[in-house]
Amino acid sequence: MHLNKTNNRRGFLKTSAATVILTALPFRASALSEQQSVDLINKVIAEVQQIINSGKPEANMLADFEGIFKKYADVATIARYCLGAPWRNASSAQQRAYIPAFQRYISRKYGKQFRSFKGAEIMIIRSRDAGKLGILVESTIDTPSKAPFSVEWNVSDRSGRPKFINLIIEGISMLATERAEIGAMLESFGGNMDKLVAHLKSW
Amino acid sequence: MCEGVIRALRIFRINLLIILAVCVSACASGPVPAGHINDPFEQANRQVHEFNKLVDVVALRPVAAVYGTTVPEELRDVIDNSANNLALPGHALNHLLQGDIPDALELAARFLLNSTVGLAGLFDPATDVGLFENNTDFGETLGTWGFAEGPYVELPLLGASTVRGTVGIVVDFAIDPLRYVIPSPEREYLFLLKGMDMVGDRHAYSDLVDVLLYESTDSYASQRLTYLQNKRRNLQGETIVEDLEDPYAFE
Repeated sequence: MHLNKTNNRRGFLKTSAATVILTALPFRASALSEQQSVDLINKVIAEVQQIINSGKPEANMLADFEGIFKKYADVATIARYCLGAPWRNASSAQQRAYIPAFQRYISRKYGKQFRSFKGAEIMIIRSRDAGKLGILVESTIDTPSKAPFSVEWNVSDRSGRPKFINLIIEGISMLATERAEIGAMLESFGGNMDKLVAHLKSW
Repeated sequence: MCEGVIRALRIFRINLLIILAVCVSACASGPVPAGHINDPFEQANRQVHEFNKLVDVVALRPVAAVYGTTVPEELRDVIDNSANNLALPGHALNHLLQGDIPDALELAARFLLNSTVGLAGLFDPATDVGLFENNTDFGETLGTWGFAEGPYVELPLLGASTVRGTVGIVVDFAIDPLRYVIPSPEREYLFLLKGMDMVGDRHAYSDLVDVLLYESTDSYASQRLTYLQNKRRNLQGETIVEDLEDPYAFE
């Protein structure tokens, strides 16, 4: 009888703990709201526009773009994903060297593209729930000389804070493109991580 | 006039039959899994890719650079507008074939406005009143009809495509309404205009094209991925969430 009671109490505790976890899980998954994501991307866009219209020399602009990536993107996760399986085979020193080298590479590569949108109007047009991927915020870039095109920002809080984890330009995913690109680079260096890091740094 | 229309319809119908026959054999593989790349002709495609890059290096890129620096921007805009305007009837027809009446009507209105007020398409007043360009092609029409994209192919001079896209290019050429309206000598000038527009686009998008072709380690793979993702998005009308990568699912 007594034993039973304890068991019941334990059972109750277990159940309530499970309830707390179960109710907390969907709460956690949806903790990031569309509004929060839109606010974040609005900040990013304002900073991007400030940079492209600043009239600074290219090198300074690219350094500023790197600042944006560092502040608003989950660069470590993006970098790891783009390297893929070789990440696990890399030494911890190589891993430590790779992430900042990747950050420099990615912000320069995409910064150079954004730089050509001087005088462009970047506007958020909508946001939508992307399930476990978080929120997709869609913006459109309207330049004086080219047809307007779509840039989507995938925002997630799985790093602990809302950060963007992917850029999708007219349907073309940065994660997919860069995973293929980093893979091709590493292959061209015969799998040598140190050479890859040196190459990324040279960007 | 009436005879011309009948002739056009007859040609259109015969072409459609040929295309459907080709398609049933070529694209009968069913839906492609998300994010999948189907490239059985990769070896041949890579050779075409090298050829296309060579053409770009020795001809298109230098010509585009000269075009961009010697032809004044106003004239480049006029050429761009005219070429785009003349492509509108074909796009509108494809929207219609896809059952997309609103977009077909929007492009028809755009064509009428730019061809009249816009002085035969030299200017683009339609954009100012909110009638936007919304391009499509017969490859997309086939996609909305349920045909799979089929294997990836890189075409000489025309670049990235799929089997479905290639069939679409042939059909678009055959069903372009302008072909049946504009008489022969003028029709040939249109190729010149299209060619100039291509050179102009190569100039306008030089940064993007250069990054893709000359700054990527494997430009063939980059172009293939870029083309397929962009086409799939256009067909869906929006980015497909299920196709996106989850960087946290890596470990």
